[in-house]
Amino acid sequence: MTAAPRARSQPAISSPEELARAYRWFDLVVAALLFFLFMALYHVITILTVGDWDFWSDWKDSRWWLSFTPIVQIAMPSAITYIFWSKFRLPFAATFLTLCLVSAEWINRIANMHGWAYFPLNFVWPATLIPCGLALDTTLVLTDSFLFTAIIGGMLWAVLFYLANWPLITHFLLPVNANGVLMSLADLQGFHYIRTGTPEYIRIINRGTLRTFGQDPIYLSIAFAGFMSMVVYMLFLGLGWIFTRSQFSWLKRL
Amino acid sequence: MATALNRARVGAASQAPPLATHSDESHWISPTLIIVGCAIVGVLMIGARLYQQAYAWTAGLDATSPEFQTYWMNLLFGQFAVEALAAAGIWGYVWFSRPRDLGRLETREELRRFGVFVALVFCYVFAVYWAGSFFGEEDASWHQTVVRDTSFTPSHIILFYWAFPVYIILGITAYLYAMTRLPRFAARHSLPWIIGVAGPFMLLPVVGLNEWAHSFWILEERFSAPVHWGFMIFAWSGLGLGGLLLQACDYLHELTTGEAQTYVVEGGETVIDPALDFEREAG
Repeated sequence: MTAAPRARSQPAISSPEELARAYRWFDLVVAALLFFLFMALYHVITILTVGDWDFWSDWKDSRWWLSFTPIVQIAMPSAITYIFWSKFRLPFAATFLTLCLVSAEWINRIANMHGWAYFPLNFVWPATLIPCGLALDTTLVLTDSFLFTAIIGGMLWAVLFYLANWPLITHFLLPVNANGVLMSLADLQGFHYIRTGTPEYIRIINRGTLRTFGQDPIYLSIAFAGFMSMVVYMLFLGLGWIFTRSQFSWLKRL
Repeated sequence: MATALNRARVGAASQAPPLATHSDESHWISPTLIIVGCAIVGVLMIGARLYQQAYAWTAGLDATSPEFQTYWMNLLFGQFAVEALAAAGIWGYVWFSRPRDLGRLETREELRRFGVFVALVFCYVFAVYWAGSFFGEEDASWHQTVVRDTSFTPSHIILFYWAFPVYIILGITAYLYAMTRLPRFAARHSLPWIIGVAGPFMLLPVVGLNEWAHSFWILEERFSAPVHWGFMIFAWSGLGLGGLLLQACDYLHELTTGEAQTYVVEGGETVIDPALDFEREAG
């Protein structure tokens, strides 16, 4: 396959300055394009996999939300990281993706969950993954290794998810006594704002016997999510690899 | 992007023979086309959202009511008509106005057409955002609060039968444009670009499965969640645009410097992307 580069008779651009400006313009357009693309893709995958846990403050539980959100959500940053890092040496794929996701979620919560379905924003606020993305990218830059990023960054991704969201959720976990029943403030919100359609969509929330032993499930969920995030990170690097194989890129016209 | 394109031998451009006419090509992707295209998509989507705000709660709660027929089913039939006309008109225009000059195309004209293609991809992605993100979660907010009594809910009529067709029309338009006006995309099909267009298109057929499953009335969680997995699988196909980006970088490098992108492989050999051999074979 060794060959001299093909040459065109005339390049479309005749000066290095103009060339630099043309490339910069391409960068700008592609950056804006990727922002919308990742808002769409990352958000729709989030909605369809762990969205329901993320919609409501009373469903952000100490077991399922904590476990599945990091595990599922690391997949796309992993695949995009492969493309960004191995092909462009850009070390901010995960941060960029999580920023896109949080932007898309806030637009929706304000315009639709609040603006259309009339739920209060402090009931439908989205969780954040931005600190997790920063940690994942930073690990990649410091180690220059996908394997170490999976091991260290994958665990940080899961651990930081709860830590980053703790300031957002903690006051909703305060105990209240409502009509003689002890519940969290988030539970009380759930009882006040009726979700008529939830039998159709309800996910598993706070189910399990180990809850009776106190707060253990939080640490177990984080640890489980961390180990699974490592595996998912490595698996989905493969998807990024597949999408960047040039030998499969062009098909003959029929 | 810049990091990859830094591999370009910029000096080659300055050594090339000067062009007879000079014009600034730095904005080779038309900002006007992007702004106008996205503005049209934005007006279509925001208009639909305002219609929902006005009539979803007042006329969209009972599918058997006369006002539901008036405000929502008539809208649905109107949408089908507009979409059929728009698809036939736009795709027909792109196909029948195709130039027959691919074998003798000036490089500068090729770059201009490539810029139009990138702008069309931008508009396509912008439309995908409205369908996948904005109206996708909006549909969830509706179903969490209103018991489903029809497949044609006010949220579905906008999401599945308005936002989806708009991005499908734009995606196929961009595909046809590249196929009829850019020599590289005319010679072969780009696999990642096919995936990037056909995958999101497949979300529409998945609506059929989804609605069939939902017609079982109230679904318990272990069944209702998997019927959405088809949407998720095809949403992943949007990643095909990552492969297209790499192809676009190579193409841009070649058009702007006059030389194919080269890579140094083991042994110090300089090679071009083997996938581009078809162009040399044809040439």
